[in-house]
Amino acid sequence: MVNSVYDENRVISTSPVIVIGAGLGGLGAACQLVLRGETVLLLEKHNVPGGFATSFVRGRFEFEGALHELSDIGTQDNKGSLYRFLERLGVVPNKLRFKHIPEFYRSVYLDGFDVTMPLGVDEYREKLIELFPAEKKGIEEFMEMCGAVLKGIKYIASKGGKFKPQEVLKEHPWLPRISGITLSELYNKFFTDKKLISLISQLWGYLGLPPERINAYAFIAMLIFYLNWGAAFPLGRSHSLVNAMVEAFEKLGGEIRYNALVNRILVENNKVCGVELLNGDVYKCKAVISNVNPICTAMKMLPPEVVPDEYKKKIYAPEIGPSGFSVYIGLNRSYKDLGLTAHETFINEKYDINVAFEMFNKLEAPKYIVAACYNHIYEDISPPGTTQLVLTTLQMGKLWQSVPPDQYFHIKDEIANSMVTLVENTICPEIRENIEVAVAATPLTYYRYSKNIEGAIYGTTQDVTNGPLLRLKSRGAISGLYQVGAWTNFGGGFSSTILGGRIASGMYLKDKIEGRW
Amino acid sequence: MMEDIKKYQKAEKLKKQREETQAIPWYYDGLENLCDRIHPGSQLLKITDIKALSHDTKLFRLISAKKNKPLAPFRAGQYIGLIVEINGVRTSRPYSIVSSPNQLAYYELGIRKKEDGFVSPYFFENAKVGDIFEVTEPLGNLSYNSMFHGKDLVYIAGGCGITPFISMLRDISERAIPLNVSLIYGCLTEKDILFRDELEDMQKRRSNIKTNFILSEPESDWKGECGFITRDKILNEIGSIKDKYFYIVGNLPMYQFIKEEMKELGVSKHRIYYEAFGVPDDITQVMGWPTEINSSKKVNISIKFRKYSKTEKIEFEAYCTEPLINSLERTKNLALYVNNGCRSGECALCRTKMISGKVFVPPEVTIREVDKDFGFIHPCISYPLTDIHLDLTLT
Ligand SMILES: Cc1cc2nc3c(=O)[nH]c(=O)nc-3n(C[C@H](O)[C@H](O)[C@H](O)COP(=O)(O)OP(=O)(O)OC[C@H]3O[C@@H](n4cnc5c(N)ncnc54)[C@H](O)[C@@H]3O)c2cc1C
Ligand code: FES
Repeated sequence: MVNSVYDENRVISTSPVIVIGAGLGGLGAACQLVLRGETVLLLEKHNVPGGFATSFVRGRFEFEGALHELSDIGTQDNKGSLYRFLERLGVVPNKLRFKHIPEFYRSVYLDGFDVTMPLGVDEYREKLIELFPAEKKGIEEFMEMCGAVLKGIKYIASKGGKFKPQEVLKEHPWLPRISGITLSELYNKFFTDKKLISLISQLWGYLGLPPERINAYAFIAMLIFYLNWGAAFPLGRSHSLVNAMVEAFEKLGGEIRYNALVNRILVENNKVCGVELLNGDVYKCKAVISNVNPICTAMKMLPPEVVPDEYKKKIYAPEIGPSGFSVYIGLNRSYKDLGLTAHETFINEKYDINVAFEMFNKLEAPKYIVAACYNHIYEDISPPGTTQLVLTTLQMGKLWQSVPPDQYFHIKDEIANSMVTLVENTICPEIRENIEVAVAATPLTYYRYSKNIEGAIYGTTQDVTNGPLLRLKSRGAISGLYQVGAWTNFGGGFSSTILGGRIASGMYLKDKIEGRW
Repeated sequence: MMEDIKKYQKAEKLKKQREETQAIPWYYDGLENLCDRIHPGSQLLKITDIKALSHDTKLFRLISAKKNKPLAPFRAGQYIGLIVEINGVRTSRPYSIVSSPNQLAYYELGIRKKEDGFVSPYFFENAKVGDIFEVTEPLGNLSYNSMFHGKDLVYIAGGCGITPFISMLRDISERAIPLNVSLIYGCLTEKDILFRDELEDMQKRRSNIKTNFILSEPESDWKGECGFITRDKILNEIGSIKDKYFYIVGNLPMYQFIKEEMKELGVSKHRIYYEAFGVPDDITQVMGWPTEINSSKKVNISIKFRKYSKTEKIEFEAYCTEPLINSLERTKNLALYVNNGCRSGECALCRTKMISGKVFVPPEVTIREVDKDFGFIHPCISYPLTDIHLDLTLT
C-alpha cells in the first residue's frame, strides 16, 4: 500500500472534494457539486479562471481567446441543456446575456465557390438542395437520419446517458449504427458529390479529424446540436461566462484559490487523500476531480506505483489530437467596409479535406482556416469603427518539439503571415493595411496556458475507436480520482466539456453514496 | 444495418487491442522542453561587465548564472523585469534588452540612474561584477511585426527610451534586413545621447538606416536640431507619412505630446505603437488626472490576505500620486509579493481584486471589460483616489 509523505505542518484545510483546475470541465464539475450541496475547494494555477476560455488585451482590443460559436444555448422556447444548467446556477437570464448568431457559417473556396449556410434543420436542408439539386434525395434522407439521431440522444439522456448499442437498436437504430463508423462511411450511404461533402463537413476543424477518420456519431451530434439550438456568443466574451460561473459557485458556498499550482496528488493506502501545491501547501480531501489532462494527472501528479499499468496503457493508446494556431487581429476599420459578411467563415484551398488535414503535420502555410469576425453580432466587442478578427487553424503540437528555440519566433511569424495572406486572397483584400494589432498563438502558447500534452485543444482524437462511447470515462486512475475536461467523455468544445464535468460529479456522488472509497 | 453494428463491435475490439498492445508508457513531454526555453518564467543572471554609457547611465552585461541553462530567446525590442530586494522590499523594474537578439551568450541592459528613484540608484551604486539577480523571461509587445508593419519604419525615442531600438537596429544591421528605418532620438543635452558612436557608424555602413538627434536643452555649440520632437521635425526627417509605421518609446507626457503632433500630420492611430517607458514621474501632469485631487493627499488602504489557513487584515496609508503596487511592496507585514512584469498596465501579471474604492488609471491603459465589471485592477498603474479595499486572499 502506498502512502504519500508530506509535511503535516503545511496542512491548510480539509474538504470532502477538491477540483484541480478551473477550466470549463473543472467549473462544470464544481458548479454541479455545489448545486447538490457539496463543499468544494477549487484550485487554479493561473490568476484567472477559465483555461482556454479566456480573453486578453492588446492595445485597445480585448480578444476572445477561444470561443467561436457556443452550442446548446437555444432560445427562450427551445432552451438548450447548457442554458438550463446556467439557469439552475442563477447565471441566466440576469447575470449573463447571449447574442445569437444569425447564420451557421460561410464557406469560401479558392476557386470562388462562396456560400453562407443557415441555421435550422429545414433551412439548412433547403439550402443544400438548392445548391445540389441532383442530390436532393440523399440530402433529405441524410437530414432525416440526423433527426433520428437526435431523438436517440434525447432518449438516452433521459436514461441517464449510458447505453449499450445492442440495446437501443430497436427503438433508435441510427444511434448505434453511426457509433462505430467514420463520417465518410456514413456519407457513402447518402451522397457522393465531393463539393457537397466538403460543405457539410466544414465544421470538421471543431473536432480535428477529416471525415475519413472522424467517428460519425461525434460529428453528427455536433451538427444537429447547432442546427437545433443554434449558436450563441456571451456578451463580455467567454471570460464573462466563466466569471459568472465562478461567482455562482462561490455564492453556493464553493471556495476558489488562484495561483495555486497543484504539484502532487497525495495518497493513503492507494486512495486519494489530498493535494500538495508547488509552494508546499497541503489541502486534504477524500476525492479529487482533475481538470488536468489524464496523462499528466496519472503520470506526473500521482505516485507512479499506484497507477495500474492498464490505466497507463488506456490513456496512451488513443492518438493525441491537434493543437491550434491562431492569429488575433484588431482592424482599424469596420467589418462592413471590409466585406466581412459572416460571424464564422471557413476558408478552404481545396475541396479535398485530407489535403488540408495533412497540413496539420507540417510547419507550413495552412490550407484550411476559420476566420471569426465577432462584430456582426457583437458590435461593441471592439471600439467603434474597428473589427476583431481571429484566424485559426489546427496543427499537431508535437511538430514544435523539434523546433530550435532560436527559430521559434521566425517560424511563428511565417505561418501567421501566410494565414493573413490567405484571407487577403479570399475574403478581405484590404486586411493588411488596416491592421492595428496582430498577435499569433502557437501550439506552444496553448501548451503554456493549459499544460495539455502537446498543447492539444480537444484532447485525444475521436476516431472510430475513440468516439463518444469509447472514450475515456470520468473515473480516474485510482479510487477517489475523477477526470474531467476535453480528454474525457464527449471530448472538446465548450458545452461538451461543461457537460463532461457534470457527468463526473454525478459519478462522484454515486460513488460517495455507495461508499466506493 | 447489422453491418454498421458489427463495425461498432469491431471498433470496440480494435480499441481493446490497441490498449493491450500499447507498451507500458513512460512520461515524456517534448513541448515542456521548448516551453522552458522560450518561457522559463524567471531566470538567474550574473553580472559579468559594467561599463559607463554616459554620466548617468551604465551598461550591464549579464550571463546565465546556471550552467546548462541558456538564456531565453527574445525579440528585438522586448524587456526583462529585474527583480531586486532592497531593505526587505521586494520589487522589480522593466529594462529593455539592448544587446542583439542574434546571440544568447548574454543580455545587455542600459540602466539610467533616476535621481529620486528607488531601484535604479540602488542598482547603479551597488551592483558589481559577479552579483546574481533574478529576472523575468523576456516580455513585451514592442517588436517588428511582419504581418503589417511594412518596410518603412520610424523610431522615435526619448532619452533612455533608445534602448529597445538599439537592439532592433543591431538586428537589422547584422542580418541586413531590407527595412528602411528613420530614428529620431530626443535627449536633453549632448552628453545624454547614448550609443552615439554606434548609431553614427550604423548610419554610415547601412544606407537603409538614418539617425537624427534632437536636443531640447543643448549647449551653445550644438550644431544639430534643437527643441521638442514636433511634427515639422518629423516630416522633415521622413519626407512623407505614407506607408510608414511609427514606434514611440518614452515617458507618458512625451507620448501625449507626440500623439497630438501625429494627429496633425494625419498619421492614423493604427500605424503607431507606443510603449510607456515606466510609470510617469508625476502622475498629476498626465492628461486625465482629476485636478481636484490634492497631490499630497493620502488615503487608507485596507487589505485582506491569507497567511496559511488564516485570513488576515492590514491597513496602511498611501499617497494618491503613487502607484498602488509601490505602496503594497513597501508594506512589510504584508507577507505577499504581488507578481508583476511591465509595471505599465500591459502584461496583466499584477491583476488584483478591488472590493471597493476608486482608482485613477491613465486613459491609454486598457483592461479586460469583465475585469472592470468584477472589480479587478492593475495596481502597477492604478493610483488610489479614495480609500481602497483590496482582496488578496484569492492569490
Ligand atoms: C518596457 C520598459 C523598458 C524599459 N527599459 C529601460 C532601459 O532599457 N533602460 C532604462 O534606464 N530604463 C528603462 N525603463 C525605465 C525604467 O524601468 C525606469 O527608469 C525605472 O523603473 C526607474 O526605477 P526607479 O526605481 O529608479 O524609479 P521609480 O521606482 O519608478 O520611482 C518612483 C518613486 O516611487 C518611490 N518608490 C517606488 N517603488 C517603491 C517601493 N517599492 N518602496 C518605496 N518607495 C518606492 C520612489 O521613492 C520614487 O519616489 C524601461 C521601462 C519600461 C516600461
Ligand atoms: S505589472 Fe504588467 S500590468 Fe501590472
